[in-house]
Amino acid sequence: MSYFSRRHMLASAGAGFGAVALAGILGREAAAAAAGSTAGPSPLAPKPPHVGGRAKSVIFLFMEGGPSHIDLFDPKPALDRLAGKPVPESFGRVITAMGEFGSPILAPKRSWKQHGEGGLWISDWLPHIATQADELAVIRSCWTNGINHSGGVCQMNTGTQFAGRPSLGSWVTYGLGTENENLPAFVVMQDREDAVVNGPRNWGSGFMPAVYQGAALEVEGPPLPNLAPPSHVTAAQQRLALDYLQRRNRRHQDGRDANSELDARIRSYELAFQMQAHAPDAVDLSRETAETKALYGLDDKETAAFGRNCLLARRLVERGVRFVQCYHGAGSKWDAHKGIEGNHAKMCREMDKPVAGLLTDLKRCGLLDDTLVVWGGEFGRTPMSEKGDGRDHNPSGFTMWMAGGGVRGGTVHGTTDEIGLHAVENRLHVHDLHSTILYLLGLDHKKLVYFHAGRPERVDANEGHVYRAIAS
Amino acid sequence: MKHNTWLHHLVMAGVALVSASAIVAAAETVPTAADDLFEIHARPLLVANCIRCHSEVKQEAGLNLSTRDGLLAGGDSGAAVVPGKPAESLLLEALRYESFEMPPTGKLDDAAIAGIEQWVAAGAVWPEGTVLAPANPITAKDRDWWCYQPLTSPAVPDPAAEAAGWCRNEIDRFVVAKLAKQGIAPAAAAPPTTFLRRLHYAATGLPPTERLLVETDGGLTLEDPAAVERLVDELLASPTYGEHQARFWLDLVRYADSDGYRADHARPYAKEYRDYCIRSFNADKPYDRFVMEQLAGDEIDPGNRDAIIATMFLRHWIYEWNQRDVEGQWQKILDDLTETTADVFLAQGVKCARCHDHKFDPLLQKDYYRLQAFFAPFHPTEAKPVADLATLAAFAERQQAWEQATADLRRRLDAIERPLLFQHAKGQQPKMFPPEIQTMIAKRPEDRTPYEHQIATLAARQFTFQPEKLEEHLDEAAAAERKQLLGQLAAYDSLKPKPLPVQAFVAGDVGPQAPLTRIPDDRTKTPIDPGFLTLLDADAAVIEPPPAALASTGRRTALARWIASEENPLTARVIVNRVWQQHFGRGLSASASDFGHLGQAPTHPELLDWLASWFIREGWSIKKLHRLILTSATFRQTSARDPDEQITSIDPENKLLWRVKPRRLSGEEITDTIAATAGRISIGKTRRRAIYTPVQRNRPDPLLAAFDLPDRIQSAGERHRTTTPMQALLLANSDWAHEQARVIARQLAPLPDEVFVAMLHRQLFGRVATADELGDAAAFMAAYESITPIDRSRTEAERLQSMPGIVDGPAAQAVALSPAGELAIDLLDTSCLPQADFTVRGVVLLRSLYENANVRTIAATWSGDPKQAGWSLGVTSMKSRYQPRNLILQLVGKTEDAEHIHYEVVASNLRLELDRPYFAGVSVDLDDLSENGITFFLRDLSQPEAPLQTAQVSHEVNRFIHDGDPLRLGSRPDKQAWDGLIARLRLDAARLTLPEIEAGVSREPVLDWRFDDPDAIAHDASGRGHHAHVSVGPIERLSPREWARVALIHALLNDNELLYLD
Repeated sequence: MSYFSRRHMLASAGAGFGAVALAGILGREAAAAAAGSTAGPSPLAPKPPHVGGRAKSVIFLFMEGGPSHIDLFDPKPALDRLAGKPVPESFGRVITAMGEFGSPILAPKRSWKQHGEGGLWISDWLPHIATQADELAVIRSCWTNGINHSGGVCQMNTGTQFAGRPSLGSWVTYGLGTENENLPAFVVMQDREDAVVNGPRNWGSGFMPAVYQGAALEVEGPPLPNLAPPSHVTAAQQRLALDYLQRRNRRHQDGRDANSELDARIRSYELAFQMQAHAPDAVDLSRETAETKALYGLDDKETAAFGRNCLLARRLVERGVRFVQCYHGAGSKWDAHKGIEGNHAKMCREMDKPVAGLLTDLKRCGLLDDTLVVWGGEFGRTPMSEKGDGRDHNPSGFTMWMAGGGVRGGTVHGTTDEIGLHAVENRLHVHDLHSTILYLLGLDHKKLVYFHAGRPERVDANEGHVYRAIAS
Repeated sequence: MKHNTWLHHLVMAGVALVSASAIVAAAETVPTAADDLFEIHARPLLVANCIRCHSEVKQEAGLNLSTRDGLLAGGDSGAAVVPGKPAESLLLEALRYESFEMPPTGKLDDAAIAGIEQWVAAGAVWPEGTVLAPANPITAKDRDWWCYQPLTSPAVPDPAAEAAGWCRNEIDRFVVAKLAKQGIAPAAAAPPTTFLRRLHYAATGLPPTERLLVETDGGLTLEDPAAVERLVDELLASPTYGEHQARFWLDLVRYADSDGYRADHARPYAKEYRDYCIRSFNADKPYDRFVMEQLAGDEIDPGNRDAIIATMFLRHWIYEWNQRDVEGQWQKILDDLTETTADVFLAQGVKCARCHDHKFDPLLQKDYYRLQAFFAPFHPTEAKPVADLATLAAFAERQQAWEQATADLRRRLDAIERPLLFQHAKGQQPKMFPPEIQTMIAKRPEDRTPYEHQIATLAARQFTFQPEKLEEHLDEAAAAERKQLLGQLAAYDSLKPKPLPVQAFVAGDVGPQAPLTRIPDDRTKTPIDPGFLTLLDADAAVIEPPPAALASTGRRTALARWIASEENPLTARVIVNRVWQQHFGRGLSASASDFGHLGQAPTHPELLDWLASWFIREGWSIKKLHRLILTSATFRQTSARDPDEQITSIDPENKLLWRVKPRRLSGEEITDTIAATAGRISIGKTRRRAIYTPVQRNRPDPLLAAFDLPDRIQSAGERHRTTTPMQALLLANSDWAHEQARVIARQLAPLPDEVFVAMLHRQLFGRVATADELGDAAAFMAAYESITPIDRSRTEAERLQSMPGIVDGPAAQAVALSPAGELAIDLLDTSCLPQADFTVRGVVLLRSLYENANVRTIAATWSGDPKQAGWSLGVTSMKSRYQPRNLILQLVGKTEDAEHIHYEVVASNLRLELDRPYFAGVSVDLDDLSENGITFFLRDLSQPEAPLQTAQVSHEVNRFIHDGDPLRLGSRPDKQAWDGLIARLRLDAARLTLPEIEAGVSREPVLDWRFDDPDAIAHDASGRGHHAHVSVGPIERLSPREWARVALIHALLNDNELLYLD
């Protein structure tokens, strides 16, 4: 199988910088030979969507650890009434991670206001996002199965709690390819060094080939592993060595025309070195104005880390990267089992301004129409207290929102029950969310099929429904 | 789809009215045209497409379409049919794919839907009392599917004379017959060098050794078929065969050394299974036995530790250590066992059938749970006795006697202890679990049902009771009573049996009683008995209860026997096909883990059957199967055949095997090849290959992962083969790849340029370099050298100095070593290090001792791991049990009568003073275990005419004293390191006599390192060219010429010729 299309090589090489970089790194002879070779289409070549779909790329802002929907987007006055009492049995018993079902209800301490023309309720923890209320389609009726972080994060990424399936970003990359093969099609960033729960498995390609897996972008040093040779090798030395290697490889290819992989591998080295040239540029923030940086909160220590990732996300989708995932609170930092006041106040401050800045910036760059922004965690939090002033995990009802990419902003969808424990109306399971995200990208979740071990696999394990009402 | 409640009520009311009148109508006229409509249109469509999921038994979405009442009542979304009103009938909406999309397998054709519309419009007549039942879900067509047919022994085709001459064995006769039918001739034989390399990798996963290249004259001798057969036998007998073969198996059984999920805890015992697989393949354990051991080793051979270890096959599932949904996790584990077993041994993708009858294959949902029922009593255990039946029975008898005698005491004790143990458990608190789980945990094990015990013990992995802290929590009276009870209990200790040896991380049954298995959404809750695929055997499996001492159900034995049976049409076909896939890149059936309708039917069904039958006849021998394939003319074909037009039109994918497909090396093979070239792997040197790298599910080895290592979460019957820029970045830029190139450069350092390039081609590609290549390489190195600056940096540590205080003889130049220093001096080419007698001596000066019991090492060929062979000459420190400043030899290797590695300290009791120059060393006669075997010697060089002190000591290790570690001077910085000066180090591969040592002569010299030239530290003056590899910190200092060689090697490590086999 051959993985890199000639057409695409030419397209990207002809775009200017690609050709220069290729010639620069490989020498003219090698570049000419690469352009002249033939092979089948690349698995990452851009593919047309099934139907319409406004969104071309996705930025998934993953609040890891589980933000409390009832303290942010889903006000529940009944909690004030029931504060200190156990959950009435009529709400239905649930298994919780820490066994807190019987604990007394904890009333949120937030003040709430309606925002924008759509009158969205948003709590005082998110003053900046509130200014973008009319971009948001808030889904209050999400639910999932995973009661633990590992299962929950795995499910929000792959559809099930159990490892082994491709992540959403892999499905999207599989379905649409990428607009820019000089960068990874699916990029993942995190705001702090702590490991995201489950690690790289979250952006793994499961049973699909590794070409569809996400690449973790480092914010310090080289953005991707092994992007540059060891420091004692100079550019001139590397170029000389690569020329020599490619010369040998072409000679080796003589008489082995039937093995198309050889050609693909020769070109994989060319692509690798284009990536070596392009990736550092994509993450170089020095070309952004001070005003833009301030918009994302890069001038404030508290917001700088996530702000930088949000700004990088814009730069990446601008360059044709298909799926960007930004973890906030990497290592379950939203996980407020105790002291939710302190925890969430801090987490919200870190995230609020950068996210609002991203929406503003995408809008003014004209990118918001075809970029779908998704915000949420692996689950929400319980109305019951834990350790007096915290909240346990709540997979049975929580909030996510989407913006841009053909979503109708300023709208609220679905409800939870009176205390925010269970999703009630328009319940959207993770499978439904995934199917809907594909729909917004123009992909039909029933047609996007990958055959594995005798099964036609889909992103939604054959269980999802598209929630069309969210589209404009 | 949600419907407003008021609308729902309205529709329901309408249904009631219409249906009442319809029933009346039906009763009056028999039969009517409307009845015909039911029989013509409704019944067949509903039976064929709907009632599998919507019937009495199973009502998806609450809908039952098997009765009239069910039809009218509808499901969660409302009535399915409103008689007379097609437009209001959800059933029609769904069939038209307007709201629901039913059936999910695909929209039915318009005529069928129109028939239903007609029937509904005519009042949806339903003959009274009719209950639709599913037709026999397994059709005759299903039974005809190839993989379920009994194995046949097809006659071996008899090809025409010319073709017959080409054939070397039966495989070829099948292949050539098929080719001949299409008018295609087999390909020419592969060139000898190509074939040798292909064959060597196919059998061992490693490049041909230098010895083999010499012996086969670069493959030329393999023109003789008998030579090929001899070589194949030799390779299959090599321990490297099992290491290679196990890799494929570990992919299949989802093997890993960690749990997965968030914590991804290590599984320290899993590697025993890996090693078991390697052993089993190397011993050519019959495959049927191999299968039996893995599924039921504990039941069939309880006294055999290997059979017990084999059951770790049942333990490789992912596991979440803090999952409070214990029952959910347990079900997930049982699902994993069911699906993995079906994938691995039977190539049946049963996963679909977990939730519904398989849509494409004749696998029923019931079959899924019939299979699962074999695992229903499954019980993971961390202390499985390893004992034969008689021993187990004797143990059980005593245990029972003790239990009976103490039953009352223990019950009373438990009543005091259990609630408190429960309350004060360490780890996750039991009260975090759902109430029903807490109840199970709180019960005494003997009071639990088998299922409760399974769940309670799975939950109990999350916490530990702390009986040792009980006293803190007991009130005075209870404490006193407990003390008394414990005292009484102790009186029965003599009744207790002696504990049996145990094995961790294996499987057994929860007891002789199996918990019930049910289909989760089955409203009738019918228990499912263990059974095989209904298509193959519709009856319940016959389970023979094993002897009571096993405390097991025998279910897994029944399953294992069925799978490992000669009668099973799947098992032999599946494994034969997997081995074929391994060698030809594609199985005879291309979907090695799925023989169903979504897989691919075999290209050579007769050959597959013949091979499978032959394999069984030959005693299920996997080695014989490899041998047959590897010695075939089919495997010998060249890969470099350009298809002509005819071939391109008939068989572009090479299904007919008109050539051998080239293949890329696996990640393991790439790693092993480079390591072997760097001298890190050779036969007999253990545990250096990639197969021994622990598989951490959340942090896989970067190189293996980039080159398509499966996630090891589910069974993988075939690896992806991707070509990505990430792979290119890894091989081109990683420190690892550059480091390997430096190591290889160092080993080839003594060779002149042209020989160096030629040797690289030989080692990496198994062939002679062409004149063009030699010229090109020389030009490249010259160009590279010209743009590489000279590194003139020097570090403090590298400064050489003269050894002070020597009164006798010439002052020697020495190198200064310190534990904090970054200077490392090694001999990386380990092939010259003696495996038997040796003498090592040097001129040394020690400045300090360790505060602890560490050793100040003069020289070592040992990693420091007491389980790895090697030796180390050094001086003891402050807290040593041999007293400080003692000259000792640590000797690690095998002894006369044991296979395991033995570690011993041979102490001389000759002592060195600090800051004083000495001539010191040891002479070893490995075979002589008497006191004459080892002779130490020491001379104080600061005293004029000081005598040579000597000491003779006996030892035990007498073979295998080297395991591939490099020789190091002063050991590694920061570990057992020398602090002081070393002026000269000599190593001879012989036991030198004292007169020889006095005279300073050499016999069989290996090296003689000198330290007088700062540009050539540890230069070998023995004439053998064994100069040391000197590095300061992570990067060594090389000349531009040396860097050019490193760059050349590095380029060749990225070469397609290395990565692909023709």
